[in-house]
Amino acid sequence: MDKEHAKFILQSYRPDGADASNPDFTEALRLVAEDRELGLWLAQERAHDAMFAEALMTVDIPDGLRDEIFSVMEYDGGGKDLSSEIDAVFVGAMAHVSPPEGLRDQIISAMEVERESSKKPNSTKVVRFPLRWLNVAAIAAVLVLSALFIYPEFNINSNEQLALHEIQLGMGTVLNASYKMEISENTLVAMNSWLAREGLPEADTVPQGLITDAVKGGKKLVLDNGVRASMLFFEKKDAGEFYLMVLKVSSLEDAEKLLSIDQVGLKSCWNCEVTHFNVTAWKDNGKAYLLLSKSERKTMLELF
Amino acid sequence: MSEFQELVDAHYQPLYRFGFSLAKNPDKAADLVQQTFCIWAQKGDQLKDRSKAKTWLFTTLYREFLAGARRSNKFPETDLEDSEYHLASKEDDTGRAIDAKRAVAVLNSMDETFRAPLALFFLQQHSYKEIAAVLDIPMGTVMSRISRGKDLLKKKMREKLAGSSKVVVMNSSERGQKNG
Repeated sequence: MDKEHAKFILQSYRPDGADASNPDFTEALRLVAEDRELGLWLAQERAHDAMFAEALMTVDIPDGLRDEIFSVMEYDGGGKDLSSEIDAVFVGAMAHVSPPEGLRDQIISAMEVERESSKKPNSTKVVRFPLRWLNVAAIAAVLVLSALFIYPEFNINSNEQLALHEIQLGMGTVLNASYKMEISENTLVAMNSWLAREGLPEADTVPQGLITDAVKGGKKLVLDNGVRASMLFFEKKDAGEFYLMVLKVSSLEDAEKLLSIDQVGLKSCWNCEVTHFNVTAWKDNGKAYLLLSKSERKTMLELF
Repeated sequence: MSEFQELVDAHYQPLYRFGFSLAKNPDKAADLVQQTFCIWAQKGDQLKDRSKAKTWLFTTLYREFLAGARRSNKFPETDLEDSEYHLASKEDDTGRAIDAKRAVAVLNSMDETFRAPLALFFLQQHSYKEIAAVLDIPMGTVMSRISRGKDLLKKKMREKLAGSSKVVVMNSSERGQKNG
């Protein structure tokens, strides 16, 4: 082995000495012991490498990343047999449904969205819902759920509380398929007045970045359990479109997971693998809020 | 503590640093780490040899990065600001003078071809053979990219220093050549 070949090999020798017992480096290290110039070169090389290794160790780990990893696991692979729950919802729902006019077209549109989503390669999104969800019955159940959101007169009145992830999944599916605002307003005050007249929950706790010059309008929704919810539409220059659902906290079976708006952060913002919306949620006195957007999570969190 | 918790605690920090060196963005790096552990939650039980979990995780993160980069069609090379190269002392050799932030910036300015193997090398979590497995390239290619990558790193720093009005630093071999 000549000196240049030894240098080539030793450039892959880790500066912390982890490769000391690696036989791939034995011959090159033997040469270093015999050649003073090579020894000096290796010492300089390892010092240079150690500097970069130390520099990489100073890259800050974001606060809460570890907790976020574990939080995400609650939504993915948590051991709950979600497919049987969805199947039960589907069977129950279909037993009571009388399809309204136009539902067929709405379902076909939503199915095309789902088909395109399932074709895509692994995305850069954060949360991955269990793939066992996406069997035919589950997709159909999601479509029925989304139909329940589109058509307020669908009122199965099961009196069940719904889980946060079911609500956000339904909301995202509706938004992807199609939606129409029932009212156009450009101030939050006017929007809340309309909601109050309609007997719908008002948006009292809104991210600071959406309070002025962002409201576009709203819509009323009736959930599967008969609860009426508000949907507000926002569009903010250079940030994108945002959709805010407001409903009673008592409608959620897992409302205890929600934080107050001033606690919203990276940990409480996730991505839905099915609908590709970024989602965050919070609660105030008696009300729960879900904010959805296709904007980046960082952009969403900057609204708060 | 569960196996999953142990795995997260053992690897999420170096995974993040690797993701950061690839994506050059803290949000995207965090996303890459999240995706990696999500995929582990779904498929990790297929790995029979649990001692390979670390390599599996880094490989998965790298593949997620590539998949995302293919979609966005971006492999940018960042030019460094001259202001990042104010050296403390003329006598300091290149390696000691540069501080951590600048070192990371220099590394992040490299083309992805070199940045990925160099980041894994400097993280010191993997031997060059393991780096080859993570990046799915031959071992000889890894050694070549580490070797050329480190030469390029030094060259980038010297060029920036030569362009700066503050100080000129030569390494010992150049000093020898200049003096004849």
